[in-house]
Amino acid sequence: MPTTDSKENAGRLRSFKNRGKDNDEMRRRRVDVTVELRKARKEEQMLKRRNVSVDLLEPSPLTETSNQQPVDFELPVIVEKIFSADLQAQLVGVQSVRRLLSRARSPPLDEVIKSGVVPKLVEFLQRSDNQQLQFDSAWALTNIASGTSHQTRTVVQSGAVPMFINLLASPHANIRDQAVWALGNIAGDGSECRDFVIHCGIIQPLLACITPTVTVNHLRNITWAISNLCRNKNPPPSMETIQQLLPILTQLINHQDKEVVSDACWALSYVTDGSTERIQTVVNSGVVPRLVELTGCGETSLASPSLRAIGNVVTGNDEQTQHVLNCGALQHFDPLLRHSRTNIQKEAAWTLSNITAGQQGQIQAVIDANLLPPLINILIKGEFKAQKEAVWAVTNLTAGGTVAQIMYALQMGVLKPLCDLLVVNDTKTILVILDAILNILNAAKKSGQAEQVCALMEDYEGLDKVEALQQHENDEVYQLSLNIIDKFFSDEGEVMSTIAPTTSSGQLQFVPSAQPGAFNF
Amino acid sequence: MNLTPILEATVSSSTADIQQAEKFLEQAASQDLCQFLKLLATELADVSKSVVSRMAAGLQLKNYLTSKDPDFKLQYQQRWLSFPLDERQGIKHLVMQSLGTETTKPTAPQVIAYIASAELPSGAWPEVIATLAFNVTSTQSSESLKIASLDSIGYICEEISPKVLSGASNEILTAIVQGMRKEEPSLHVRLAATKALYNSLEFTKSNFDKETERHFIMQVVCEATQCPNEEVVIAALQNLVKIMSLYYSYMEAYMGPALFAITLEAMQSSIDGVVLQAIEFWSTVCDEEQDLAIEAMEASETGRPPSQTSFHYVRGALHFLLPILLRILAKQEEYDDEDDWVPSKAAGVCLSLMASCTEDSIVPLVIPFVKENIFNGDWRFRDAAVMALGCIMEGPDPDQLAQFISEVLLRIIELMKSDPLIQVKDSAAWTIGRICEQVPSTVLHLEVLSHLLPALIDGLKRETRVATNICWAFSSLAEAACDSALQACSTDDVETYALSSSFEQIVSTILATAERNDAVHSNLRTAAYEALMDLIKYSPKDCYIVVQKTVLHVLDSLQKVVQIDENLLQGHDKQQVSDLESLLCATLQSLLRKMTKEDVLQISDSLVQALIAMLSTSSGLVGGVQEDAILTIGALVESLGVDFLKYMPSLSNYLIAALKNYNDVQVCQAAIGLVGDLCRSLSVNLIPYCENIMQIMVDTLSNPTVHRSIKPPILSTIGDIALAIGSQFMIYCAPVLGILEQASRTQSENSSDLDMLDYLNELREGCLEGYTGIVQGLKGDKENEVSSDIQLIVPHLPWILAFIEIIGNEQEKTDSVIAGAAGLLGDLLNCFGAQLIPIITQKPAITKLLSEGRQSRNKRTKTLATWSMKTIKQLQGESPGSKCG
Repeated sequence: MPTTDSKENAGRLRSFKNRGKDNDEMRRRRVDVTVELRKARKEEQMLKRRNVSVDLLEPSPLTETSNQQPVDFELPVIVEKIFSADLQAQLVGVQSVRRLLSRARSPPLDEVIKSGVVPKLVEFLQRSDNQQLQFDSAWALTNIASGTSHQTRTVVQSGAVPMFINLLASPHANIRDQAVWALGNIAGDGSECRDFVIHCGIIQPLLACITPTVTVNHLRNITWAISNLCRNKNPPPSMETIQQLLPILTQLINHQDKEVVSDACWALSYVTDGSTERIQTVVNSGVVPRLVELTGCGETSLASPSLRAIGNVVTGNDEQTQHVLNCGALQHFDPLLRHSRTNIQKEAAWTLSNITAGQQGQIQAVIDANLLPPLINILIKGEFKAQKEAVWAVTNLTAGGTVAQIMYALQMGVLKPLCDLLVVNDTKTILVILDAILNILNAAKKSGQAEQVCALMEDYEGLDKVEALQQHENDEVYQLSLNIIDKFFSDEGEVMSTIAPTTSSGQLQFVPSAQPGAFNF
Repeated sequence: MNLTPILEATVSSSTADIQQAEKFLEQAASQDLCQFLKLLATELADVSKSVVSRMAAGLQLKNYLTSKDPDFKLQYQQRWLSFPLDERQGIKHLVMQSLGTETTKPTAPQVIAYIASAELPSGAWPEVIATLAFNVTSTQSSESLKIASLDSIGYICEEISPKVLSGASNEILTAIVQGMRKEEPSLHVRLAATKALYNSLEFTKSNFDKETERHFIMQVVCEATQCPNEEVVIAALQNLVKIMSLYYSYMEAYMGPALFAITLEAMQSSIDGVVLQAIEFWSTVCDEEQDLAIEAMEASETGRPPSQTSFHYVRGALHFLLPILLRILAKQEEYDDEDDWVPSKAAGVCLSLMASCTEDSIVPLVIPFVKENIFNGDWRFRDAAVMALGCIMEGPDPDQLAQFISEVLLRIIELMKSDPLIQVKDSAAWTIGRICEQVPSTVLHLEVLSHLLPALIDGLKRETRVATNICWAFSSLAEAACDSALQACSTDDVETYALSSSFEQIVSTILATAERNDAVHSNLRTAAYEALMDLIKYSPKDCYIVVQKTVLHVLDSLQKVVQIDENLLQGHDKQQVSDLESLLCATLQSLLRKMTKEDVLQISDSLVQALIAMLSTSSGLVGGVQEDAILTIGALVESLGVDFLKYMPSLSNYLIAALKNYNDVQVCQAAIGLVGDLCRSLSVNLIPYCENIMQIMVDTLSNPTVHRSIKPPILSTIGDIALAIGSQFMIYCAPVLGILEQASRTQSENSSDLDMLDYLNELREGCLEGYTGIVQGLKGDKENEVSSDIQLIVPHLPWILAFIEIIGNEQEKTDSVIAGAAGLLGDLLNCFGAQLIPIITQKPAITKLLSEGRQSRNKRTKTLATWSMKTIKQLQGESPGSKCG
């Protein structure tokens, strides 16, 4: 029941002047402050632990040296120290800036660049009298070079690349590794930086770092740097560079360390992403059998790059494609097409689309490897980016395959998912599907099964969709769908009357649902 | 059995008689409660019995039907329902019969309400509402039967969940509205009906949703505001306040034609109760519109339409309301009690709310009033002018205010120093505090400070209420001066600031103020120590020497008060002593956070000794004192790090006692937090104490009677322990992981229960922190390897990942929960590597969770989600373009 001193009023009185700030209220606020502070410390602790974990993922031989201090200077003070004449101050300055740049959250790259210390750090790279100074400078520069293109270029323009290449021959392992790391970052920035690093002569000294006693961590970084030397197109690295790097890549791809193998694969995937000439050098180096083997190893971190490389190779000429088939690549594709990762499904389907674009013998190889069911499976329930590639694979098959091959695909059930996909919001894909449908209808006509296939089109509501596509804004879609209708469905009455009894009579043997076991839902 | 004399004896003037009577009644109740209740009901219904006896019978009856304790209440209700149906019918009949027959303080309406609240939820007694409603609407009913029936309806509405009653809302409203109509000849009936309506507003939502019914209800309420009886007017206005807060979105049709005029007129009434409700109406509109403004802002940030929009009534009415409010502001009582709620205070609060609501628009409307009256010879207008200025400090853009403040600041300082009226001095001190808090740029000049600081310091010696407001002004000033210095320099550590040269004098005066004999009045002691804490917290480096001196002084005060405490027994002084101990502990926390570790080591022995002495006195058992003592120990742990270890033997008993004290939620929570601090500072050195601590925590977690808010922090702190002691935690893994799973399986049964939803988020955050600590702790802190201890987690992995998936699918999850889940996922990936990828990719909710986290505005959530996403990408074998160490 309401009363004259209702609760609202009691609450309001606490809002009058400082009435509400009594002992209990203030204690509550104090507790809140303590809880906040505690939360902050806890988060700091966890983040620290997690940085350790991040290092584990991006392995570095860098270990913090013993005389650690937190960064307790502001940047201007650091800069002053770095520019001072005193060696000890220089070292403290460089270590502080390195720590500043190593912090997990938004390291102040631009501020450090603006402060003008980069040329000084490059100068310190030459101070072979002071290993620590060299090392910390190299580390700081590495982190700057890991930033944006602009930030990377600041390091390059300060003349760091020749200095780092010199350091590849340093007697100190940690400095060599840091140099590899920095150069890898620079080369990874893009074609221009990559070619500059190569031009400065990185390759021989870098390869010379691979000695029998090289540690795994160091080798991982070297391999990664090599992969960045192969990376980026427009233009790609020179053929000469590729020729120099391929021998070592063929070795690295057989190394026992997964990460080394993974980066070597990525390197090969970059090289194969180019002209048939480049693909041929890779084929000639003899790595394809190993790449094929890796696509089937079940390890995603290895399957991904090796599949990409294989996929690139089959974009080449028929012989190059045949070479991949001869290595038994197709036997790994069923699991790849059913992989839990959509990206792998997509790349596998893309690879197949390039194979079905090849000779009829190569199409037959795909059929014989029983890869149509998993492809159709993607058409039915894959993600769109994988579906698109699977559509291409099917369309290429229907474009280049024999009538028997096309009719086999029909029997396996490609038509229904193709019809279902006609509603996607992607003109290119619709065009490709319409091509496939036209090819299938043509093949059906040749084998005298046009009526049955037309009936199937009807059953699958494909006809309705093709008819609807005549209203499509894209002219090519309109033309193509009109073409299909004109050619196969124009005499509606006649087709319909002959179809109806046929479908109801159940004579159609290639109705997919009549083939249990053909699908693996 | 004749109960009458016994019942009459329960209100006798002789304690012995009362005890004897109660004993007798208890005995009768324990023999056969049902029969006893029937006897009571018979007594209540018997109009031939004395007023006293019938009332006592009604009260007895009521007390066997309900209790303030919700658990007992439920028990009593079930006990009632266990009685035979015909017995219950008999009693109900008797009580119904009593309705309207009691002449003073009727008890039957309540008894009916409590029986109904036991029976209605289970579907029994369906006719009760109809019967009561009939009593109200029947022309045959007497006035007193109508009133008693309406009262009973009101109690039922107050007592029973809206869900149970919403089906009867038509019957209830019909009866109430009938009683409220202006045609109703009895004012008492109208009043009873208006009060009953107030209780029914929440569950008559379906009626409010229908336009015609809403119109009708609104019409009746509005008419009631015009009733000649002031009690009815006040009750009707209270209804309008509640309607406004419940049904703001429906008010458009009534605001212009009716509510605006009604409330404006009511504000000018000569009856305080009416004025207060009218002001409250507009304060409520301000509250609603501010909430709507926040909602609109959030909606525009997330790009979705807000569910409700503001009609900006306050902005529209500002020109009409302000002159009236400012006039009310100047109607202060000459000798007001600080606890009285009077129109002038309500006007001040309403003005503040309007300023927050309308921002810059209010400034040009208030400034002329301040200017005009700040020199007014009538103290009421001088005071109102100062108040008005203080009220509009928050809301408008500070730049809009700065110019005018500079014009009048010296005058306000003068009023604080030397106005003959204490009320004006008080308001001036408060307004200066508000200026320091909201528009500090106007005071942080040497010129202004040279006037202000001496005036404030001097004012600390004046009347307690003035001094209290000055203390709060110092709190604001300290923070503002520190902020301003921080902005001027680039480091986190401020070298010096605007208060440096006066710092020592300010601190010593504040200390003296805290120690004033009359500091118990007007909250002065609390305000003074709070000001001291803020001065210390926000002090720059060049004031550190004062910090060192102050800690000695405060420590000395603590030692002294503990000695007094030991000699005191109880009473008012005792309360003062424990309040003081609390404040001194709080001040020490502030000091410890500021001091260097070396300096803390100088005093830590004496501090620990004093704390132990304090905790050993009876005040040490007072919840607040214990809580503040534990917080102080936490600050000490934080400062000393592993050096705190030497105090563990002497302090651990107190920690353990507090941990076990789950009946005092605050104390227990403080102790749990302290365990977390100890984990971070002592790490493996905590091992000898862990078994005991873990035992208590596990016991508390599995105890169903423990207040639920204690459990999430325990789960989180168990994570801290795991992190601190690493592989030593393995022995606790089995029970703890079991409990964590059980806790993380908790689901909300009712998605509309917001409290439960909040709790669920807290609980999940606790579980995530617990799991995270265990995973990180078992993984070990070696850089490049994962300890095999982590295998203990393997059997729990499916559930942990499913838990993260559940969180991903949850609609109402907080940023912290997303961050916690993302972080835990990243940790698991770092421990178990690529083998988790196929499981994770099969759970789209997890990917969704991470992308949601990446889009969060909270930096921590964003960082952790990005980190986890990156980890997944790397494990999936995407090539990193660049690396950074």
